[in-house]
Formats: sequence, structure tokens, C-alpha cells
Amino acid sequence: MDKAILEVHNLSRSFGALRACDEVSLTLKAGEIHALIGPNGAGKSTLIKMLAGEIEPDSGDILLDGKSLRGVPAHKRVHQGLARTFQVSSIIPEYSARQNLFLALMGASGSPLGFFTRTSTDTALTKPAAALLDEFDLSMRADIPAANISHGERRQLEVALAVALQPRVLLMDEPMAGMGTDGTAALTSRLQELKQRVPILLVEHDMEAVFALADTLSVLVYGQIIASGTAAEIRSSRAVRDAYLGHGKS
Amino acid sequence: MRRETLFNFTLAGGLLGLAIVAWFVDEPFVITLLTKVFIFAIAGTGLNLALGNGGLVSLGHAAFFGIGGYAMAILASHAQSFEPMVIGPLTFDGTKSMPVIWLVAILASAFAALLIGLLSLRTSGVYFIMITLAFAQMIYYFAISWPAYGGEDGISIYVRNNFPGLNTLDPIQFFGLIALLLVIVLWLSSTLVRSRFGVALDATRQNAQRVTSVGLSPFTIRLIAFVISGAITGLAGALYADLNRFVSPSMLSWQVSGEIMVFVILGGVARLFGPLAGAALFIGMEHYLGGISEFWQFWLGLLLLIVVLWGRGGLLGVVAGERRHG
Ligand SMILES: Nc1ncnc2c1ncn2[C@@H]1O[C@H](COP(=O)(O)OP(=O)(O)O)[C@@H](O)[C@H]1O
Ligand SMILES: [Mg+2]
Repeated sequence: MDKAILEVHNLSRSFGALRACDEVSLTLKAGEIHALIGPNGAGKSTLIKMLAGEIEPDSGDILLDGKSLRGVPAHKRVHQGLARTFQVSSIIPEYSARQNLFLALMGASGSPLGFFTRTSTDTALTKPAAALLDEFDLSMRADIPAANISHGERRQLEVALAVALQPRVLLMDEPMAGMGTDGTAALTSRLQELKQRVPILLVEHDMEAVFALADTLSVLVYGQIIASGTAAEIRSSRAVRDAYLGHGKS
Repeated sequence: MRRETLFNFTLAGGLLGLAIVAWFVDEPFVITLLTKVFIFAIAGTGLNLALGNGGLVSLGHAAFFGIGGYAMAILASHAQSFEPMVIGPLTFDGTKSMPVIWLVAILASAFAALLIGLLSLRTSGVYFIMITLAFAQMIYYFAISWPAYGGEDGISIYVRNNFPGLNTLDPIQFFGLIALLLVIVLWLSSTLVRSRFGVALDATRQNAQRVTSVGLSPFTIRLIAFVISGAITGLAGALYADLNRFVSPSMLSWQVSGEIMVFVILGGVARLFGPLAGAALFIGMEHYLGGISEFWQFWLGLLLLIVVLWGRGGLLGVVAGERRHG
């Protein structure tokens, strides 16, 4: 339970004069959900982007299973087991949910793309896609363009795409955003289940969900981690209350 | 049957039928015109892969068309003059064999597309349009100032190249050969589009971020598409040079890039038969309107404007009653 899979060491990144992430360190262990909370603009998404390899850190290091990810491009990090979901749903709009999953499964396989076999009849894609659609309650809406499914369904698809990659670490950037109470509750229990399979670094604004799910919490304010600990520790921390919990969550 | 499919069959059948009628009533000029349409359709099908499926607006496909043309002319000119070409310590005889020429044209234009793609695919949008145009212009000026192969005057080939078992100088036989190649290229294109690669390519056009986040490299996918696209257009260039038995730097000019793009846009971007429909419409207008009015390009421009402003799906979009690329 306590082996660190993902280690972040003193990661920093500035945009001009703005230090979006300032010497951030944290670890993610097997079987846990590590929640990252903090006000808007704290640098949470910037951290996720650096972990995923979409932007370069100015300094610091990221270790996956003790191996540095420095210089590893974003798409190769996926093959090493790092998957992420986006704060704003990022799907292929003209593709159906099923075709979106085909794409993810193609990426997950890690093998070169074929030029001649039709995807629509390729059982290596159709079978796992159908299973995932079922698991994520998307079967009824599987074949209309993903641009036309509801916001809640798109959020589900977003998670399904990450799960399709069979990651070893899941980075989730505000998966509950705009989900409504029912959706949030459903996703909460889904993540509860999911963390048995894959540890999750969870950025989330919904405090109820965070306290229900998180084994460990870190609080990020102005790019710095001001507190880290168990849910109980964070809840009772003065510094955290002053800096964050006391204010509106915007 | 879907309306688009029905239209595709009608279009292809109509053009083939027209060629056969022209053969019976002995109108070789019409057959030659149709041959030109089919060759341009092959060139457009190549571009469509990059432009339509990949969203890569290349204004430099004349480079590949011209390289294909020069590949043909260089090989055939050495064969007709019986002077082997000398590259360093190696010497090669030229050849008049179409299959060999096609292979060389495909490989040469694919290699050019690889180099141009490696450099230009790091940019996007207007920059990509400009950099592809710039590369094509560089090759154009290179051809003009290359005296060994005709410079500005180009190269004439006296007799059309050979294909086993055919008399390629007979217009209907040459047309049949081109028609067969068009069928193969269309089959290849439709197969590619439905394959894993095609699915990833279209996804890259729509949302590259998502493609990256599932572990695929948009750059590599685009590069492969650009190379295949250039290779197909290069093949068309070799065929076009063979049709005219002549090649000159004008095959490499930016107007040719523009025309190939016009075929695609007129016919319907990302539609399998779009380039064929566009090329048929273009050549038809050029020939028939060109006979009536010197300003046929004005009418072409007007038509293009209408297509771009109101019928983004091109001719086939109007037929199918829907748009691609929402
Ligand atoms: N690409 C960028 N260029 C400039 N500033 C950026 C960029 N990305 C994020 N920022 C800034 O960095 C800070 C942190 O942003 P972000 O990581 O998105 O915060 P959070 O996800 O915690 O709300 C914000 O002030 C934001 O405006
Ligand atoms: Mg954010």
C-alpha cells in the first residue's frame, strides 16, 4: 500500500513573472487517491500538464516507478502508464463515443497503426469498446457524435477514455466540474472503485467528493503546497482554513 | 443506397461511358480530355488525404506533381537518348517502362514529402500554407535553373512510355490504364480512411490534444499522411507528363497547387469522389466555357466563391445534403 508510484520533486514553472508552480513536491502511492485542492489559479492544472508532459517544467523532476520522465514526450508517457482527464472535456467531436474509445484503445495498444483493416469490424477494438460503454453507462448514446451528447455524458466519456488506456497512474483535472449532484455522486462511487485498480491524483473543487474520496490531501495556493496530510489533518489545519477553506470555493 | 453513393456511381459510370462513346465515334480528343480529368482526380485524391482528412492545407502539392513529372521525363529522356545518367560512381540507363517510372515517381515524391513534412508540419494554419508554398517555389526555381534537364524549356519525350501488353499511344488504351490506376488509388484512399491510421488522422484534424493524450503522436500521424498524400500526387504527375509527353517547370508552379486544391474544394473536401467530381467540373468548364468566353476563370472563381461561402461540402456536399467537418 505504501510504495510511491509517482513522485514529484520540487517542480516549478513560471509564466513570465507569474510562478504558477513553485517547488511543488508530492507522492502518489498504490491504492490511494491523492487529492489536490486549491483556489482557482493556484496552479493545479499547470501541475497536471507538467506531469502529462504537455508543458515543460522550469526545474524539478517527476519520477514514475523511480524513473525520471524528463524529456519523455506526452504521448510516450501514456505508454509508460500515465493517463489524464481534462478539466474541459477534450473529445473528438465528430466521432461517436464508441469511435472515441476506438481511438483510445488504438493508443493503448502501443502498436503501430494499421493501414488496411477496418476499425468498425476490428474485434480488438469493438469488444473492449462495448465493454467500456457498458461500464460507463454510455451504451444508449454510443453512436451519435460526441459533440451532441450531454455534458454529463461527455464527462463520463472523458473518464472512460482514460480508463481505456489501462493506466498505472490516473491524473484527473476536476472530473466533477459541472456534473450536478447526481452525476457527482455517481462519479464519486466510480472513483472509489477505480482506485483499487489505479491510484489517482485528483484535482477537485467539490469538497464533499474530495473528503469522501481522498486518502491524502495537498493544498496548493499561489503555486505552493501549503499543507499536506490526511483528510482529518487538513480539515483541522488552521493554515488551510485561513488560506482556502474559509473563503468561497469559486 | 445513399444519395452520395448513387451520385458517385453515376459520375464514374458517366465518365467511363462518355469515353467509350467517344471511342466508338472516334473522338480521341474527348478521350484525352477524360484522361486528364482522371489524372487530376488522382492528384486531388492525394491532396484530399492531407487536406480533407488531415486538415493540412498544403499549397505546395505542385512540388510532388512536378517531381513525379520530372521523374518520368528524366528516366525517359535518358532512355530515348541512350545516354546513361551518372550519379557519382554509379550509372543508370533510363527506362521507358511505366511501372518502373511510376515506382520511381512515387518514391521520389514521397521522399520530398518526407523532407518538406518534417520541416513544415511543426507549423500550422497560415504558416503551414506559406511554408509548403515556399518549398514548392524553391523546387520550381531550381527546375528553371537546371540546364541538364531543359531548364525553363522543359523536356519532350517523343514516344509515350510502355506498359506490358498495351499500346499506350492508343488514347482509349492509355485511358483504360489511367482509369484502373484511379480505381486503385480510390480503393487505397477509402481503405486508409477507414483504417486505424485513418481514424487517428481524422481525429488529429479534430483535436490533436486528445490524440496525444491517448498515446499517439499527432506529428507522426500527420507526417505519414503527408508522405502518402505527396506520393499519390507524385504518381499523378508522372501520368500527366506521360499524357503530354512533355514536362516543364510549369508543372511545379503554384498555380498547379491551386488547381489541385480547387478540384478538392469544388468536389467536396474529405469526400472520396470529391476530387473526381471537382476535376471533371473544372476541366469541363475550362473546355466548354473556355470556348465561349475568354473569362471562363471568372465564372470558375464565382463558382468557387459560392461553394466556399454557401456549400462548404462542395458538389458532393450538395448532393449528399450534408456537410462534413461540422
Ligand atoms: N499558458 C499560460 N500562459 C500564461 N499564464 C498561464 C498559462 N497557463 C496558466 N497560466 C496562469 O497560471 C496560473 C495557474 O493556472 P492553472 O494551473 O490553470 O490554475 P488552476 O488549475 O489551479 O485553476 C493562473 O494564474 C493562470 O492564469
Ligand atoms: Mg484548473
